[in-house]
Amino acid sequence: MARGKKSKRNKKRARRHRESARWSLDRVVERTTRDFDLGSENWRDQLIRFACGPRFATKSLERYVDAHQSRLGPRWAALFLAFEEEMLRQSERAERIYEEALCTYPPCAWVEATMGDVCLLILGRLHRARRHYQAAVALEPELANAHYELGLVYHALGLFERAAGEFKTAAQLAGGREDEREVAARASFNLGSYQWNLGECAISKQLIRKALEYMPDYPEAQASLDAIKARGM
Amino acid sequence: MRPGLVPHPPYDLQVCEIRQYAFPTTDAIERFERFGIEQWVNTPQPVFGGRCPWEVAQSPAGLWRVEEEAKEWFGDQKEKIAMVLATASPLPRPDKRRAEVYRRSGGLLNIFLDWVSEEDDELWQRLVRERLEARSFPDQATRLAVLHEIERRWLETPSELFSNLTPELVWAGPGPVEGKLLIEFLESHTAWWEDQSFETRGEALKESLFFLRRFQLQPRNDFPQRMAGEVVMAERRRMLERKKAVVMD
Repeated sequence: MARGKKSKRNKKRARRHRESARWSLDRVVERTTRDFDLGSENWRDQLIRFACGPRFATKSLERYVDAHQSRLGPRWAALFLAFEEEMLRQSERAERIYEEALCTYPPCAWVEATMGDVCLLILGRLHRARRHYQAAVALEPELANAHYELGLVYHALGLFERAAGEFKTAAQLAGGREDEREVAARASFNLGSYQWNLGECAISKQLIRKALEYMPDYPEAQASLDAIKARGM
Repeated sequence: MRPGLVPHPPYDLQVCEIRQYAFPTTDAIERFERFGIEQWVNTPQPVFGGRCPWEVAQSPAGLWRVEEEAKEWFGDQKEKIAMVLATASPLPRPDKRRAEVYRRSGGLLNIFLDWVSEEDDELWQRLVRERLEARSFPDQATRLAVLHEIERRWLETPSELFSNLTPELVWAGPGPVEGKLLIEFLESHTAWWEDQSFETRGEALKESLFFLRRFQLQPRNDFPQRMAGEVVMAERRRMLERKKAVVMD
């Protein structure tokens, strides 16, 4: 019984090893080019079609592609889409795609923000995530989600004032965009919590109310607002 | 991802209690081990007449006594003894203190953070670029004086690498209050961790850090009107003042 289990585990390990040995950037590019039907004529349109993000971020990506069209091409589009896929799959290969290929192209806010996600959510490298998000907002200062994620990283690093600054920017930017109301709500709520810790109860209450306006179905914000009211504030 | 449980060496040997704590990463386990050493170095010991090992280690003979005593506490583990000696050694020069800061645990506020090095330190890189490399100096002595000056400035500036502690507060090390807070935190974190499941290292670390920051910002009943983070900083400031009076130039 025990031997059976062991051999099953060994087989699984061997399969994983074979898969890992087969993995290479060229294979990834080949597969993604085929899967997304990328060609020298249509790669830009296909990229914009399959890159899923808020409208503002997609517009920003379009601007980036148009500005660097001569240096980009179907290979870059294939790498970009594979990078997104690996990130969604929570695979550490996303880091390899960035390190071995994407970082050699002109810096792109979307790619930097996604690499920040990879470092924060998969690799657990906080300082590296901070650098990537900082690069993303430097390249595209109106990317609300990158400001929000940078705020989360600052908070995790114990830099509360800076986190509050990023949440404020994220709430301001996302508040005016219909498809980014969740970011606006979460940023407002985090900012409200920060104000609460400073003892600014009235401002905190106002921000948490705002968060609920952006996203009425937000249990944490509702619970906090109820707790504030229960204290008679 | 399985929780990283490590046995914790008892602070009070008379009790001899083995506990297990959950850590999100191996870096965090290393930081915790360093913390134990730093706390020992900063704790008055009866064998030294109620003085702390760092105070005794100010002279070469004292350093040797600390080494002998450390072997009693930590066993004959060369790596640990070397850490004790590095932590207890007098470091009057700012450059020596600066190099040491990156190896210090950073205490409760930094317990789950990754190790960092000079390469990650944007403030240090900027100071060197602007004040050292962008200028020319008439002689080596002037250059060295400027270098020491920027090192002092770096030591006194709150750092994003150490949860907003100044590097010199990181260097000063923890006191008994921080030790108790850390154990309290690790106990509550371990209890919380047992109900969690994480898909990735990043997720485990992120959630653990958020748990740490909640603990840091919680008002304490035992320290009225103060949060755990403020208590830690105040104790480290006192420790630094004591060390400054004895060690620094």
